[in-house]
Amino acid sequence: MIVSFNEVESTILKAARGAGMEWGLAEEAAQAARFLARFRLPFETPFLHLFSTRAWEATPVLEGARLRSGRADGWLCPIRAGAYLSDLSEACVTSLERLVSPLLILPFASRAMAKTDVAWNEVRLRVGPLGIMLVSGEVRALAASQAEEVSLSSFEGGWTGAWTHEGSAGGAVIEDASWARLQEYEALTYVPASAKSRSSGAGAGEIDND
Amino acid sequence: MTVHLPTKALSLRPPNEVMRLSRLGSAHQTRLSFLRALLRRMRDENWRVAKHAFDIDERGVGKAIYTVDVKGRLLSLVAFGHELAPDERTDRVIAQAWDATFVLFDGLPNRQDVARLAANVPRQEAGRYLATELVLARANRSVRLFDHVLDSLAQGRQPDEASVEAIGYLMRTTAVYGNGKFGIADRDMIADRPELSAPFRAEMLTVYLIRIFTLDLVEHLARLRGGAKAALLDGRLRRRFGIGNATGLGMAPFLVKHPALVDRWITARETALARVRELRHASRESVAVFRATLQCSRRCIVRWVTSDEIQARRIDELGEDLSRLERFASEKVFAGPCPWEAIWRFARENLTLEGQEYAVTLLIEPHGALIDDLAETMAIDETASFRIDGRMSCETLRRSIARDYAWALELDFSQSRALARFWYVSEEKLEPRLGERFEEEGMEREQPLAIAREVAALAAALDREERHTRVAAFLLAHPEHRHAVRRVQIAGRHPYSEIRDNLIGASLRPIDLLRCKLAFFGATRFDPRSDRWVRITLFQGAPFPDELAAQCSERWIYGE
Repeated sequence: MIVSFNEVESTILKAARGAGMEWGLAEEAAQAARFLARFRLPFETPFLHLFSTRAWEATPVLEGARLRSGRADGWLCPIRAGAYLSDLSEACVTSLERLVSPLLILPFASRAMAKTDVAWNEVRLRVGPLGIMLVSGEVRALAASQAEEVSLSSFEGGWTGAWTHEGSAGGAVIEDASWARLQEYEALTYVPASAKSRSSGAGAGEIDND
Repeated sequence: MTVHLPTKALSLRPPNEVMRLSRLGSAHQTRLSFLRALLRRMRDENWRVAKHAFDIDERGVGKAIYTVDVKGRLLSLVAFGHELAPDERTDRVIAQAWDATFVLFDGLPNRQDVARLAANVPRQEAGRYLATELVLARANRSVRLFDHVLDSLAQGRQPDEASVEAIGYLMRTTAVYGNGKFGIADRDMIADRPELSAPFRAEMLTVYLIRIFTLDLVEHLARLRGGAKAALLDGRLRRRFGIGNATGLGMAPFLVKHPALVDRWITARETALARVRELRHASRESVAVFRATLQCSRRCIVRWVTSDEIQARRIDELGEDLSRLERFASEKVFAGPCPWEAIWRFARENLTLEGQEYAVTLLIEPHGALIDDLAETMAIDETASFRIDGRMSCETLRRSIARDYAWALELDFSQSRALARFWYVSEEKLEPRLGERFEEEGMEREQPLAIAREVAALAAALDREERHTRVAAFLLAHPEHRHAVRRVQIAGRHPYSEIRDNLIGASLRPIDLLRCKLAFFGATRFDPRSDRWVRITLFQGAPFPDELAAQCSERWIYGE
């Protein structure tokens, strides 16, 4: 199905909250999803994997220019880590250790530094102001569930090659099954009806024939 | 009466005064309201509206297409008429059937498009849409007036003018959706098109076209029923039909969730007021427009009918306020220095909130050349204010809170009255609701609208931090405060972004939020049906497309 970017943003906002993130982090997740959708990059599988790990519950620890999970053998949450990169807006972190759903760091790296190289395993991505270049690695590797080490570095000068992913409009194509799973998380923010809520409702009459 | 004039330069009204709910809930339309800005643009750019297709049977079932030619680029309203049983006619957003359903299509739909829309638009939220669709809407008849007008016209008579005036519309919309809902175009797609970039511009255009459709529909049905003897609506009476709208809690969180945008709206209006107050003299023309608008308004509010006791009393008081304002605005005042400032000061010191905010409307009205440019400044790219500045120190952030959120720090959240309510989304209706925290289940799923309480908690946490700690480091350890930090930083850059009242307190009246937003749309005749539900009228008295070019005065909105 095709979903609008606004639907991507609002569904990930609620799904992230439903999964257990604080609202302020859920907002970051929603903006990150919109960024990825706009560049036609996969966001649904990385987010579903992140939601299953609850990695955001561990406070990240900064050691020099290296960010890692505060739990021994724990995994680092790309939303908590990414929010920190975005907040500082400078190249203070060059390495992320044991990162869940590494693609989700991309929007934050892009916000922190206009020209960034992001790499994990065999994947190398160059993120510029107007597009994203998959320099090496396969497209399917982008949705990797984790990476032992993710490196970040800024690049200088212009970029003359063709972007493999450019900003788009008109919504994102998404598998129905993934969307349905995200909506299950989203539904965790809804409150079931009670007799009291039904009686007060939104305040309108049931039938309005006047 | 002595009026003291300021000795220093005027400035905008302070946020602490403007952003209180009681005042926001007293807002009125102004020249800057979205539907008025739309009509000016349609007039200035000579947008041409045409009935492209109209295929509707005697039961009201079928479809119609209206096109709008915007400097060579087409937009189309595709309307579907349905037969609705009386027990299915509800204003609630969760209804599943309507008298008519609509979509604003980007371009002219071909046969395949129309077939696709016919399979989806009548189902509204249950359908799926593409980025070629800009707005989705539906409307129900005001049965009383619709049937009366239809009967009258079919018999060759004009409808009773008093009935038309009392109700004011043939149909009322129960939802108008834009910005990516159910797959329609994201706002990004139209934000850089000057004709559609103003806030809710596409939505206002849709409602304006729906108004034309409702009038064409009733005349068409009268002709099918009455044949040759059927009458068309008299031109003057035709204008007295606007479009109704019924709005509930679904709209309320918008103003809280879009702080930077709300700041643009309020800043535009406050800037307009400040520009007028700064004028040293009043031109003869502007005085004439002010007086004429005031007189129209006095007559107009007599026709503003509501069964809500509180609002009815406020309308009575507004009538008295306008009389006092008229008496004060004498030749002598206009001959003196800074006459508009003098009138404003009189209003602020002597009128009710409803009257003061009406005075804002009246002061702005004669000054189109001075302020109409502000209507084009009311949109904003909200992503620009999203990023948190983590290099700021905790001390600086704490000072921002002291400056912009003193009103929140004064609240005592150890008192149950201060947190008596909570906002949530209902699983059954998927709509925002307001619950009683200590009586209902579900507060662990609260929506983030308890801004005052969040900021108070943030302030307490910052008091425990080292002064020079960077906000980024603070948030790395305390993600629970991230939402509040973002708001505080937005408020630092956007002074009118935050509603300065407790949105979870026992005394909250949600209709104050609705009223503020609807006033910016250009709504009139606020008719609260409860403290969380309001009916309004849009475009009542507005010129039709073929009348726009000859329209110089905009006093139609005051019932002229």
